[in-house]
Amino acid sequence: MQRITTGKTLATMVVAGALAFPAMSAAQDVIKIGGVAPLSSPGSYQQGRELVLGLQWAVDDVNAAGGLLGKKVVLIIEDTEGKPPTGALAIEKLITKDKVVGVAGEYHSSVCTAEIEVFRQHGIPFVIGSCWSDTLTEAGYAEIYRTSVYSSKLAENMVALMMANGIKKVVALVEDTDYGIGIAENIKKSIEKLGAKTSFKYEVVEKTSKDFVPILLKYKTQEKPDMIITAVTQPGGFLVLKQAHEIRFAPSKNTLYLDATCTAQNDKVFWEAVKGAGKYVLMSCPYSPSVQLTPLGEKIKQRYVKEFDRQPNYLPLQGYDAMLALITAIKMAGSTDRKAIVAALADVQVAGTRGDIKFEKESGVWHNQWKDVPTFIFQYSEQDQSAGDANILFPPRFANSEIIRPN
Amino acid sequence: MGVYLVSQLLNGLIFGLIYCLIALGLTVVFSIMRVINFAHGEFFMLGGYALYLFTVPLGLPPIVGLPLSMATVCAFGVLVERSLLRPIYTTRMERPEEYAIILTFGLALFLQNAALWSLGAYEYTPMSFWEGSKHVFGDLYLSGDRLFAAGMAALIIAATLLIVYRTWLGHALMAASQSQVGASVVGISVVRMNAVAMGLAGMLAAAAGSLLGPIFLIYPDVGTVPVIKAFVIIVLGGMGSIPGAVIAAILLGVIESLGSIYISVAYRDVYSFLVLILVLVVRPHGIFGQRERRA
Repeated sequence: MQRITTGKTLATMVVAGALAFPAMSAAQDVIKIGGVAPLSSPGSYQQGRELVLGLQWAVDDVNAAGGLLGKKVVLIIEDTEGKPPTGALAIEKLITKDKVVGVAGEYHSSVCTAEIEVFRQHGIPFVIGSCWSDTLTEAGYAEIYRTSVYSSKLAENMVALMMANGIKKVVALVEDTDYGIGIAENIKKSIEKLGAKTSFKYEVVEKTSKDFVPILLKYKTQEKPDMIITAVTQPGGFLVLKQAHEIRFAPSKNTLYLDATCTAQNDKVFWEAVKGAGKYVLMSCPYSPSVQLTPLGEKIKQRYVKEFDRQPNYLPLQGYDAMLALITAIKMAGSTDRKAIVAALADVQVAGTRGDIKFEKESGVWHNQWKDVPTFIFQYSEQDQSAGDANILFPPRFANSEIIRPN
Repeated sequence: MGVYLVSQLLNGLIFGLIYCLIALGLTVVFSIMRVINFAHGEFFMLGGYALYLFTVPLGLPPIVGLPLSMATVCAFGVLVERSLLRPIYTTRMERPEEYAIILTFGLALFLQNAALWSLGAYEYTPMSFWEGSKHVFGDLYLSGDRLFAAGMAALIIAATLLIVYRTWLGHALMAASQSQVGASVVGISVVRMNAVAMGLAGMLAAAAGSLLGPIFLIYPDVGTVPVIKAFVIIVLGGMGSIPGAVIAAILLGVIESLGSIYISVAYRDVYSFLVLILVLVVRPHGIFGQRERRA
């Protein structure tokens, strides 16, 4: 009896081992990297999809070039739905179940805020794709790096533009998220820091709201500002613009309209949604289709144009840069050890799609941040204009036009 | 200040009429079928996409596209009733209410994701009903589409009330809503009335989705927020009460408009729930709801 039982047990072990062997072998042949983005409601799934494109293309390119450390890279994408708890759970799953060696991506600052705690807990590196809130790098976590823009830099640009153009009274409508409130507070701080003689106030709106006419009417008739800034992501941002135009508030001779989210840069989608309302809109963006990109950036841009028959906005490029930085760090580390990758990220210097990526070692918002990430302010001067033909207003070294106002 | 206040009241009234259109369909389904249709927002979404299809690729004028999109979603509503909801009252189901909730919720998720997968994430804009910005009075300009939507919503609401209160079909629907057994006894086909109710709900939701498409754009989850407002309205007005839904919708539109400017725009979507709580504390069955007898 005992011999039969032992034999059965041994046979079971052999069979189990044989079944597991291919899986174990397969696991050793690949390097798993995580990618996160909102791909369904209530997240901004339109933007999430663009970001994932960049993440995927970076992985495709490294595999086409022979892989990483002699192995194929497998990208595992998780939908964070724009919800912080879902984002945190997605990261837990990527780290504990999928055993990823690092993660890149994410779009919503509030979700990033929840996710960075999980990365810190596990010591896994995360390169932020497109979360702009300053607090993410201000936290000073060793595992967290960022290749995207950050709110205080964008805010300073906007204030510099206001100062250069004598804009004295500004109002803003911002979404009820870390990003929206963060950018408004950064504009306030920048006005003080730069000594601008500009009054600024903002109102928080629900991201999912549809009717903004009451507050826009109030701004039009009671506040009468020189400029309205909106930090409401798509589709809400498009609705704010349509309604501001419909009530003849902005863009107008008296009131400029500035889109702080850069969703206006997705030109085909933008013009389809807002039509004539988009003429004269200013937008603050981390990328310019008309400014010479790096060779890699040009290649990605042309790939996008070929596939989608329209110009890319900044998101595929930011996604690509985030993933590129992570992949470069793994290469430099020469291993998939988490601590080695985190340490290697600090020394990454690689030509990205928009410039040479290098992370700062300072504390504050520049901690592990690509400080020189490019930023621009543009203005559409014609309806249905391509983003590449929009006038560049800022920075001064690239500017090719003054602000144009409707008659 | 007087012109400003009137502008806000007018915008609130316009929005109230539009809310009413969305809520009416939900009320009709609940009052007759005793089913809460969680996919009502997706009927709204389908109406918007249908108008886009008829007016942009097919090139029909929007005024022709509107009834076509209403008819399309009406047919879809009838199909949903026949294929998915009929077992609730034709079989001896143990938990029919739970079945209806889970089924319509699942249908909502399915339709949203089907739209996302097949039509993409980006916004569509159907052709405009009344292009351009129109001068209303004083300093107030509103889009032609918004004014058209409000006017058409008022007409459709009036037509619905006329059908419900002045036609045989409407009386049959009301009879079925009061007592399905009693209606059957006098020869009214309850099964047919349920199908009519679902078709009517689809038509009304599609009308709202189509009218609002040029104003609020169309995308897969466009119906989520309006349907939440619709739920608030039908509870506020009294479950199953059509006049209640009309009054509650207009009240809500005005409160949201005025609350946005005199309190804060950040809590716009909260005002509806606040009003709901206050009303239910005083009148638990809603403004026009009937107190139910419990055995």
